[in-house]
Amino acid sequence: MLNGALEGVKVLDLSEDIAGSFCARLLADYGADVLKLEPPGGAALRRMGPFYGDDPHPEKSLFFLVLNLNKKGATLNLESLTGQDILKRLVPQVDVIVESYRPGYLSSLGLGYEDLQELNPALTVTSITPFGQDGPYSQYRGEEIVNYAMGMIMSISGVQGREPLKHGGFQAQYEGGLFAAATTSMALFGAEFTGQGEHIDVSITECVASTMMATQTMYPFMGGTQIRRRASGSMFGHPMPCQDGWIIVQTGGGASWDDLSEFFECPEMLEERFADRAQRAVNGEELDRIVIESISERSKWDLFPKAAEYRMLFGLVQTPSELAQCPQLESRNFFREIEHPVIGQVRVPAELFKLSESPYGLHRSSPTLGQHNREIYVEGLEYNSQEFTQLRQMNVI
Amino acid sequence: MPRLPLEGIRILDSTYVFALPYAGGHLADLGAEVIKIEGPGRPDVTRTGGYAGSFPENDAGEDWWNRPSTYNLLNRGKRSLVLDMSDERGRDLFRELVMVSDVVMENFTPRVMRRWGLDYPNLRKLKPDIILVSNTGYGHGEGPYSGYPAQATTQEATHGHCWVTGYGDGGPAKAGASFVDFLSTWSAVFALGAAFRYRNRTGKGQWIDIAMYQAGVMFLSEYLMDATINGREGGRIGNRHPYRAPQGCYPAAGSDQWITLSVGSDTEWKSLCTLMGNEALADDARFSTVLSRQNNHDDLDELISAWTGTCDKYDLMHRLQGAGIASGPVLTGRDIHFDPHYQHRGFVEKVRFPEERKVGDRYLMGRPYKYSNTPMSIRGPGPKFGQDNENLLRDLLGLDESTYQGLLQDTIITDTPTSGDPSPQMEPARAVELGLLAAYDPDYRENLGLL
Repeated sequence: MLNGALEGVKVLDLSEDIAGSFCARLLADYGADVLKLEPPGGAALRRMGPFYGDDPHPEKSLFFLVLNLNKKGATLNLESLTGQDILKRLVPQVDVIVESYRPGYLSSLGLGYEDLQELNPALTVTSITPFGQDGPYSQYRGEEIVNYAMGMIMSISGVQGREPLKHGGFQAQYEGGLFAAATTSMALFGAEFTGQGEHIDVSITECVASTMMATQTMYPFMGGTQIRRRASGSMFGHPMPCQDGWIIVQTGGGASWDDLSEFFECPEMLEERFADRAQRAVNGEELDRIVIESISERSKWDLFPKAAEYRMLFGLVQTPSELAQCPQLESRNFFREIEHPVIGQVRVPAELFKLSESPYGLHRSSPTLGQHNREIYVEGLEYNSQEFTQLRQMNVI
Repeated sequence: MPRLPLEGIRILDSTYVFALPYAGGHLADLGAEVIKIEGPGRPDVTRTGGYAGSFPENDAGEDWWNRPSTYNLLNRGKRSLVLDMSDERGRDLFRELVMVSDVVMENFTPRVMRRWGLDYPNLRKLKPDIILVSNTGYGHGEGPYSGYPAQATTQEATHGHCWVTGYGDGGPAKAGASFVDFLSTWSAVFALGAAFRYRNRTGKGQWIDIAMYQAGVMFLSEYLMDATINGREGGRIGNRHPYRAPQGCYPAAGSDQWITLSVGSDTEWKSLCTLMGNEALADDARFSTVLSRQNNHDDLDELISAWTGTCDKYDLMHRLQGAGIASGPVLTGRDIHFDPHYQHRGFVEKVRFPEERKVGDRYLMGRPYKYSNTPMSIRGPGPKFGQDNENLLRDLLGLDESTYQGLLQDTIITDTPTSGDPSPQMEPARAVELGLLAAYDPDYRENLGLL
């Protein structure tokens, strides 16, 4: 009887960023035994906010905390020969390494996939980078905004007449992390039959691009290039202000145009000038004006359940604190509580999806820097306490 | 040929629209036998060419339901069975298929599979180690929104994405595409890999219950932490970065051409000043630290735009990257087909349609990842509606000829949709005029070498 679906899978997480950390966290969430190995100065993500109490302390990054739940943590200096040696001693015991360094960096340390799979042919190395392991841009620097730009999505985000717009937050990095976890779990299943691992090459830019199904296919199918929406008159293309926030509506679903007119209490919508898509495009600004006026005195919280009765495709813009109190997420047990050694009791976004037989579990908070050094190096690799002290003094751990 | 990870796995894919159909397509790439199941009167909506799908040469053709771009991208490499699940005979055949399959995928609203007696407890009676994947807008269970209709383009608002997306001076904005769908796509692939391994070790199946809403919220984890712990609501900063400056999207030479860049240190800032041919700027106190650059970002944007506006977007990227500054052009759906990096990576694959489908060769996106030891490719276009009815029912389930003919007669099975219409397509030139398309290139097939 296994507790998690991935129980027994051993993972070393060498990543310092959002994507790699999220990937390894997902593996841990569903049962893998994940050890995060950070440089002695701490992973870069520890320096990213938001911070607990706005205090930029390496143990108080809430971003680091939430993306490293369920992992153990140790420090290891991969740039020292001793550190490289230690990593090689760990490799035969693990199934997966997650890393997000610039392509070629680990190879330059003698720790590339080719080097490591000689020590353990079943090892899978999951590499997550902005542009992938090869190709003319592989050494280029990525940033969230660059991934969006080159992944096509910015070309259709924002409005006509203004600059293309990136998504808020770090959606591309999260995508890279999730997609990488998916390809890793498939490789692990494949290895059940072949005994052979993989070097998995995940490009974050391609992760974003892969979602652009209408945008990419339009050109080879009919020569068109998609465009950003018009600033207004896009037939419900944008969130619309109501009394206490914003809502958004899409045509289709189970609601007819007549239903929408009734829902908005807007008989004008049935006029000839809005009768079909082409006319709504031509008269879009007028349509926006009528609809927005009709909801100016109505609350998003009243409109939401009413739209569901009409089987409409409807959304209301929720803020982070509204999400934190959402009864639907509560019913799904999405948030869990955990004790963090420095911050104390925290409520964290926890469960991505439900598995009936081997459910998600939150077993430990994110590790403090080097929290499990003794367990890994003294108990695991059997360094004696004098050697352990030396490793620390030599800045290996 | 190396063994693909999902060889020997059979998946019943009774899913519609984007999220799980795309998961099925990726599972087919990984070697699974994926059987797409649709109702006679319920062809997948992507078969209509709706939701910005395109028909070859903008022509719906006679069998419009087999031709749209997005349908063929999402459902590549699958087989097709058309089966009326609202009829008990259809459900019985489905049950027989379950007994010889490994996975059932579905994205009906929560009550449907229960009503049909095809929910997890019932499927499990038919095949004890079956794996069921359900994807819904808000998730199964007793929550207040569980029965609400949902689609990505409106869920982006509800799951918080719109709150943090938008120009710094404006209201909440939508994502460009059906963003949250793909979080379910890859959640399903991830969960299935784990569930297969678990089944291999324990002999047990699993119910995977995915909610798009929940996945979307997960992707805003740091905002939720900031809200619950620091009481901060986040918000919109357009194309800017909380810690880096300058960062933005600036005009490049040409119509609607853009370059993005992001400066992460004072050293990078000095390099940018040099590239701009304005070394004096590096000493300007308004911009000397990241904090002052954040505070005077509007002025910076103006200076940078004046420089970028006359330069080619690719040229800008190479020069900026050469100076160690993160940068990249805004690439369109057309651009990536000619970009040397995308070409090197083989990101789009030329897929050959069978002669009789009169579609020829088309480029479809492959995968955003590579396995070093197991090369993969798209195994074929999306299947024709009902193309495998006979093989699956006669050969696999062993139905006799008269039963099979009876099912055809009663339209329990068919190869022609009994309802639905192709989405009306606009003349491309007219669409450009109305601002619904950025551009139209009549020579696209020639330019892509598809003729």
